[in-house]
Amino acid sequence: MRNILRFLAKYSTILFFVLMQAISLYLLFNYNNFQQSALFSTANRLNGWFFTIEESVYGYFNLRENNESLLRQNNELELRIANLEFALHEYTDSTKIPLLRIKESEEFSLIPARVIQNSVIHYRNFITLNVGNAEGVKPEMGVANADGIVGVVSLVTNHYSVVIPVLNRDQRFSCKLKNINASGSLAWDGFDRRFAFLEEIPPYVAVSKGDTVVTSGFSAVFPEGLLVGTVEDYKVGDDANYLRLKIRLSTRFDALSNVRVIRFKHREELKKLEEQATL
Amino acid sequence: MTRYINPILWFLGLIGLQVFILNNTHFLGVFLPIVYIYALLRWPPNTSPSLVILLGFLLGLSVDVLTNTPGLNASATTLIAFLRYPTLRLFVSKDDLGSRIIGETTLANGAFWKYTVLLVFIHHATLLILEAFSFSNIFLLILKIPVCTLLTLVFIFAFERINGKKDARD
Repeated sequence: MRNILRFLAKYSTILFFVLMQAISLYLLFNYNNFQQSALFSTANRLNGWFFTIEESVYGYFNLRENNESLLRQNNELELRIANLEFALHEYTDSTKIPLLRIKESEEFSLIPARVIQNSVIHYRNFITLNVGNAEGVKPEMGVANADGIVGVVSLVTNHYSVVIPVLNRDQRFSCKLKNINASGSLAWDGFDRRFAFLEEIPPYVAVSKGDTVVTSGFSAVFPEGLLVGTVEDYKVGDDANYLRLKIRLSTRFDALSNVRVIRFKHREELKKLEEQATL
Repeated sequence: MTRYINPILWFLGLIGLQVFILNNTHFLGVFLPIVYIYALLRWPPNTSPSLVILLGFLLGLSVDVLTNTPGLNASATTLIAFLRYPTLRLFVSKDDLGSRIIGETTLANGAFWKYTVLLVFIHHATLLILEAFSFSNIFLLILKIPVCTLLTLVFIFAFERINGKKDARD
């Protein structure tokens, strides 16, 4: 007994170090379990508060880019209104059939949000938003801004939520080439924040540089046809069975500020159905 | 007690500097200085080793909680907290160390910089390897470790200019 105590006293520092290191590595390698735990993330109340203050300062730095993006969006909307009014005019004059079958607004609704914390430099980047359960945000909802897709909600507390963006090596997004309808999965290699890679495209597909890539709509995360980026370059993948396309992302991840969370209204129903189908 | 006030302020200040400012800077897109460990390097030398390890763990965990990387910084920082005293003894004799401050002006023959360079390098290597957790992009990893170390050392050099005068007075 005395020997054990003497041993413990002699090596107490090393034992303590091993204990602390074990706790650290346990946290690190059980990371996915802790994604559900707000304590260890920026979604907890205290951190949310810190980053809200930080954002109120940094928000100014991106004003120019955001302004440009808003202007572009404004132009686009004005153009659409003009087109619609023109079409409406045509229809009301001749046949008086009610127009404007806006399918999107029946299936999807948007929750406006502000980015209060954002990183682009790590292999696994995260974004924190200032909306949470109180505003109706749920995990697995898509997030996009006027330029293109941003990511998917992973963790939600009452007033904050953490988003896994495209710039996270662990997350893949189902996307397709707009004009030829070939779909694949979008992944990031952890290197350049401007580019991601669209993998699993069959090699017989006729891809050309500059092709538009949009979301496929295969999941309840994003509706079909949201802009992702354009094809920058392409080559045959490692096993020659697939093409690997380099995609220039349309979203500027280092200047994110205003985003929208996309709520798919029949999500619960779809999930239930899919669960039943797999049973 | 009062001599712990300055290290504690550095502790909190550096966590803030790291998370709120430096993590938003990206030198050439992928490199960033990791300066918060300076607080641990400077911590008074005659503290119990277990307390230093605990401090290292808490320092790393604070940064982790603020960057959504549970355990990553904590692991690397706990390691250098453990290696701190042995590394210090490598360059400074026990008598010389006494209860003095660890600083550029208080340790003779550039011992402070040898000690700092070694520990910063070990910390960054551990952190970046654990973060990548694969050697698939080994070129980037090999490039990242020395460049980030160099960036951090530039910051520590600046911090020493702030602390140096005060050290000389004490």
